[in-house]
Amino acid sequence: MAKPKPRLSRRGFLGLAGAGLAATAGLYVAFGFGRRYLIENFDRLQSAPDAEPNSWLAVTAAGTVRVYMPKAEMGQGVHTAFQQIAADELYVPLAQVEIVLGDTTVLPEDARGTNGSSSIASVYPALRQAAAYAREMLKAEAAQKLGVSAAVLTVAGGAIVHQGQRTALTYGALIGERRIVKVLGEDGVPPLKAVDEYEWIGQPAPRLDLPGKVDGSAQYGFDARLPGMLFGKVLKPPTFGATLRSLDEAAARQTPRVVRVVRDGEFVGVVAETAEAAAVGVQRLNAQWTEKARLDQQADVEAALPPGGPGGQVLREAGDVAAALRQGPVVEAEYQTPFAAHMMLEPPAALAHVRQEAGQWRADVWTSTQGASSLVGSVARATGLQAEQVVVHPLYLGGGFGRKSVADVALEAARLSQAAGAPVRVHWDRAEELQNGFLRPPTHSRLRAALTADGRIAGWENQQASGLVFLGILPPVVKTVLGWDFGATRGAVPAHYAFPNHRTTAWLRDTPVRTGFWRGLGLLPNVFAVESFMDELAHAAGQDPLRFRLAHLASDSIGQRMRSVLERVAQMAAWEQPLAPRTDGWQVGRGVAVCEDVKTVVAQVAEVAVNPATGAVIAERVFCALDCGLVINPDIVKAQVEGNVMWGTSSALVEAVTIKDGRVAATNFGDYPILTIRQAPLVLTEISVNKSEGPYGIGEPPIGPTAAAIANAVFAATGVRLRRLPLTPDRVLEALRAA
Amino acid sequence: MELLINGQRLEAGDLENRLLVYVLRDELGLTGTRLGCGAGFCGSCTVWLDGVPTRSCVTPAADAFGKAITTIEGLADTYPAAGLHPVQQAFLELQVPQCGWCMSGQIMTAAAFLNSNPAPADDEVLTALEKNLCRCGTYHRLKQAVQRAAVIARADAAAVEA
Repeated sequence: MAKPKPRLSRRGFLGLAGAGLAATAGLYVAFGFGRRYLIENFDRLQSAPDAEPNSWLAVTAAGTVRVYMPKAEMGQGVHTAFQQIAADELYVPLAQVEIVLGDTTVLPEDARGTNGSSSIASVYPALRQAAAYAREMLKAEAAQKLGVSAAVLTVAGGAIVHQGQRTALTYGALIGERRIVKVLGEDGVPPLKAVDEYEWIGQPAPRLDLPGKVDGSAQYGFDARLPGMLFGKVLKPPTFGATLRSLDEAAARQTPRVVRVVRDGEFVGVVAETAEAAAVGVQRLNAQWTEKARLDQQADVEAALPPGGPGGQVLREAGDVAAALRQGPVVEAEYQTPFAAHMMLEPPAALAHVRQEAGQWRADVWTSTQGASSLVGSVARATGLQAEQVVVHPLYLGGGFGRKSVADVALEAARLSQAAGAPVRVHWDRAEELQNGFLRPPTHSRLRAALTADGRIAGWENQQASGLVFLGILPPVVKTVLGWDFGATRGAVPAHYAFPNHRTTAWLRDTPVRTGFWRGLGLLPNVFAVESFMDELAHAAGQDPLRFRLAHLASDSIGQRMRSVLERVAQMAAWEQPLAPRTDGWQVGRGVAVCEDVKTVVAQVAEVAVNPATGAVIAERVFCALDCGLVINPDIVKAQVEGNVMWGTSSALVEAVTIKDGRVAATNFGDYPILTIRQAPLVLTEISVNKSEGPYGIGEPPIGPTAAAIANAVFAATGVRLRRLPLTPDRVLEALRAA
Repeated sequence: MELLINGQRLEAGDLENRLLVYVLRDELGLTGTRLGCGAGFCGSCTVWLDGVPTRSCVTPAADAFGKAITTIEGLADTYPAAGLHPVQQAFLELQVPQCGWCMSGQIMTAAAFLNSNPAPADDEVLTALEKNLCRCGTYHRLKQAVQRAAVIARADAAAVEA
């Protein structure tokens, strides 16, 4: 029976427009050496030669500036920042700059993707140059028209200014009906606007993406729709390593609204007229599995984790640590962090339409992805198509946090669409995501240090072990190219401290569940260990933890910038004044922690309250001072600090994944809680004015210190040291009772 | 079957064994209602049924038959003054959303709450919103924005009375 035809809403379905943009009149500035430019800046892994010009920027005949930005908007505000950068270099109002939300045929290729807090740092110089080239070309054109030297012309408000007067030569008038393509070579860099003259950069410009996010019209990967679309769900093994033994395809096929069952070896999926029916269809498959003889357990993971044994990689070695440790009184401690999940609120979802048109295959994929460019190749491999036949349409991300660098769901949608001959959307439910996505790996760090008689660190040794990060996702060649899985050790070597004798050694451990990118990679786990230990050393030396850190800072630029933010955060938090004790029995304390990451330096002070009767910890306030170099948009930087502090607090207090009987024990937010608004600290942020360097990344660095600052504050409040995240009430109570 | 959504009767197809969230999103294209956890934990899918905030991911679509459904797309029309609803205005003013996926649910929950409690204490705001999760960590601004929305709504009400 035909299903009643739903009435189209005003929102309608997707069109396939977009590719037409590039055919219109305008001045297009492209990086002919774009790929290499990108690679030299941030990509050591992929080096496909680039034959196609990469348009980054266009000035249209209407005078509008278009930015073709190969970076995903996932709430971090990059679109707005790029609008500000382009507006400044072209001397136009913000509203005259459009960010093109195009597909992979329109956007320049970006093998790196949107991750690692790299977007602003890497695109700022390139976009500035592209904009400056466009401006100088327009000035040269105007000079010819006016019969003067370009050197006497300036620009303002998107028009040429001569002898202090705005002329009729707007950008649009200069371009007219022509289509001009400028492919940048290595023929020098045009003059760039002086940093001190920025009009838009440094301003809290309102986010471009927010109107659609408050009225519901913003379109994310999960929102994509096409006429006649079907809904798919792929069968997954119940436990790690289980293999399929049998299933009942007929029963699934007979499920109401199920259209077909797709089977290709162990790839089995159900395609239906509704998402609900697809899920029921997969259950009706009644799949039988052969499971591993011994199912994986959390205790196995933890037993295999501690550092030591063969395979250790020395990350940093200076002086003679062994000798230093033989001399002084030695302090030793071990810190552990658990598996953690991303739990972005938009689950993995994709719509694919793989079909033959006039004898030619074509695949279109709409999804929320941090790596649209690399997804093209993945879809091609999954469908047997050529990369030229695949178009990825990246839409807004309902949170990424590293998880959406891997678009496994898009490949499922593509395979099901190809088999069903119709557009198919697939989304993963939470249990499916927790079991089949990937996690932040657990870490176990053993730190040892010797103190001199006057309370200085004479020797520092960090033995760190972690599950995989880069190697959990990327091919093994990564380890050969990079020398190590530096994702796992991010933050393990504190570059801002100067220790006379220092050795940091790392080990990698396989885990039964896939692990990989999570906001900041190893930054939070490693800074938790390093900065908790710094606190323990300060107390062992009988020194104030903040002054102890100041006393150990390196004398280089990073150390000096760290000094500045540490002193600033001490003022913000009134560090020298003790917190007023509470009269309700809760104990209060303050903790400090710092980190450096992607050249951004961050110092935080957390104020906590601990209930000694229940073990409950509340993070009341977190102060954050940071220096990320040139600030494009201070309000977005603040929002990123606030978000990172919430992530850090959530990891410190509530988040952990455990493995039980071959599965991830958690299935949804009910058994994997994340921080709620009631548990959220007040976040107070100050950003250093530093226009002489950067811009540096901000999407991850502030996640580093929060958990350590909170654990250090719990020590200040109670006198007990918690070395294992999260700081759950039962762990706190146990520690209080043992004290 | 017809559903009454944002003041319009819309043909929603056969509602048997269907969840309201998929009918709104997949059948009717009202994708402003976001699906987050699928089990009623996160609140991203919150819509109003006869003005009551309801998690559409655990609501059979048939249960919404005969009720007035309000989604984020129709929220502004429920407010007498022109333009956006005060909660939407305040969320823009304070630049609350980051990724934005939870925001329709936060806004629908906050707007219903302010309808019943136009001058809430801070702790009442926390109670009203603590079952709406935000992963990006906008809580700091969210708290302030709900109070700001209350101020806007009270000012609008005072202007009408004057």
